Amino acid sequence: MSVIKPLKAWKHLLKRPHTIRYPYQEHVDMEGKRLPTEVLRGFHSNDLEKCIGCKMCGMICMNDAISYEEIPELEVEKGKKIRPIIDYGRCCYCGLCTEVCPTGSLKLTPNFKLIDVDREKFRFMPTQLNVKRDDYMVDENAILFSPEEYKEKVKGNK
Amino acid sequence: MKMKEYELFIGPQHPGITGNMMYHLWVDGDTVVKAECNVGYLHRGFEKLMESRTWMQNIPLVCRICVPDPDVNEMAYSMAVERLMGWREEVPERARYIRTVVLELSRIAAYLMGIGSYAGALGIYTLPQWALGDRDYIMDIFEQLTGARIYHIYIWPGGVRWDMPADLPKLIEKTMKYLEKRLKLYDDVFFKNRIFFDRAVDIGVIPKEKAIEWGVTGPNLRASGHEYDVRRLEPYAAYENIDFDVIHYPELGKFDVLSSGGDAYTRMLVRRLEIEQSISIIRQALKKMPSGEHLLKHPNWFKWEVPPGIAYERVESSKGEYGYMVVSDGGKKPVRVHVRGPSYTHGINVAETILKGANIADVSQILFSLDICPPDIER
Repeated sequence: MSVIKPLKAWKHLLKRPHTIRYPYQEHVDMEGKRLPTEVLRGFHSNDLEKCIGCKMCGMICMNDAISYEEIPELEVEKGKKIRPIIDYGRCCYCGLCTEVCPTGSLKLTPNFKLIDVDREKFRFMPTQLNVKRDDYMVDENAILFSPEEYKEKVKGNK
Repeated sequence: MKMKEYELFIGPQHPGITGNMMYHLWVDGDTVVKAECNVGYLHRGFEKLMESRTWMQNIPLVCRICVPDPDVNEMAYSMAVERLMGWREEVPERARYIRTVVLELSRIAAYLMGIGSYAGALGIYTLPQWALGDRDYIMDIFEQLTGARIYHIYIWPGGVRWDMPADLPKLIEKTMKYLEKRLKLYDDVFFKNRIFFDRAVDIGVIPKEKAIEWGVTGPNLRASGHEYDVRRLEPYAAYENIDFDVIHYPELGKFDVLSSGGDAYTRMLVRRLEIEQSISIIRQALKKMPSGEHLLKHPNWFKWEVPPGIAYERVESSKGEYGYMVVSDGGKKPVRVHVRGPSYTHGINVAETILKGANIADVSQILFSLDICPPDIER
């Protein structure tokens, strides 16, 4: 038991803060690797050409986050033109939809940043999901805002 | 007119309460005369919801029953499904070791959070900041291993979702070394602090002879002097191949035995020592981890029918003993899933009993020392 030893905590006064100033500062792990890595379960990407509109993703989704929309421009058979819309207000990022996808077109990307006050923006239309997963890979994905940009983004949505 | 007793409501929104629950106290002066637990603020109907979902759809749901320590739920549910499927012996060896690592990491994270909030309840605000900051390094490991920081959805029936990346053991080892260094500082600032000793000794005592009768499990039971650990009694995952002692009162390692056991002081010391033990278990598991498969082949999830039967599986969580009883009638969905949460007994029966006679200032530290997690009271 000691009364003096707890004063050791004072030495932290001279150290830098432990917290990171998100989103202005990068998030790195203990070895200096930038996070998130490609494993992170974030927003989906869906290759519209590869997707066959089988609705398996909607069947496994227990949160009803996936609905469908027909895209007339697609050059496929008439019945196969539906593509998923994902509602990120409902999605829990479990990734079961990607596990059941028979063609492997639906994937999760490590992108998770979405700042908006309009709730309609949280429904991702099929064309919005049509990005290559590699485009979302960590380096390109890590768009960090400067304080001015961040203020501008929030102001624009008011 | 002199007022004899007055009523006090702590929670559901109170920093001195362990979550979204409430205690109704009858107080005479500074002493609690009667305490009544009031839950229902967090009821999400897990057990009923599970009856309307398929076997795999339940996995993202079960982890939400305990937020600080989610992996034990996935583990217990998966073990029960494995038992019904007859997969118990077939789970790949590598998956067992990865599960052990994940469960122990999760235990450390939960203990850090528990110790931090306990110190906050005593008014030592340095430790909560440190503990939660250090917990984040474990979240970083989880992010790279499982793809999520809190709800991992990683332990599946028949193994683990995906294999452990080759470079991860290095990061885990580095984090463990860092934690060991930090624990020494925690000792100086908190565990060997005179204030902690003065405030916590002989507060909220669970007597050894009453502990089993009251349904106490986990670190709380070990602090009362019982050598009881599900990891030892019924080894699951890879615990049978791992060497560890059950830390219990009065064997508190480097800490002097200064109380008569079963009090808030001993409970926190047991948690503190178990962090070091978990670090040693993780190291052993990483060392012994074989290579090979990580998941058994699942049937088609939409047509997966589990053979009829009842399975009860239990695991040791950071709060106590977690149990899952799963009933199947051979269909695509469970007929009944019952969760035995450790906080059910700790939060209702035990807390109501030991709060009697406590001071108002000690109420929150008693609750935090029991490490109550309200979601598993009202699944």
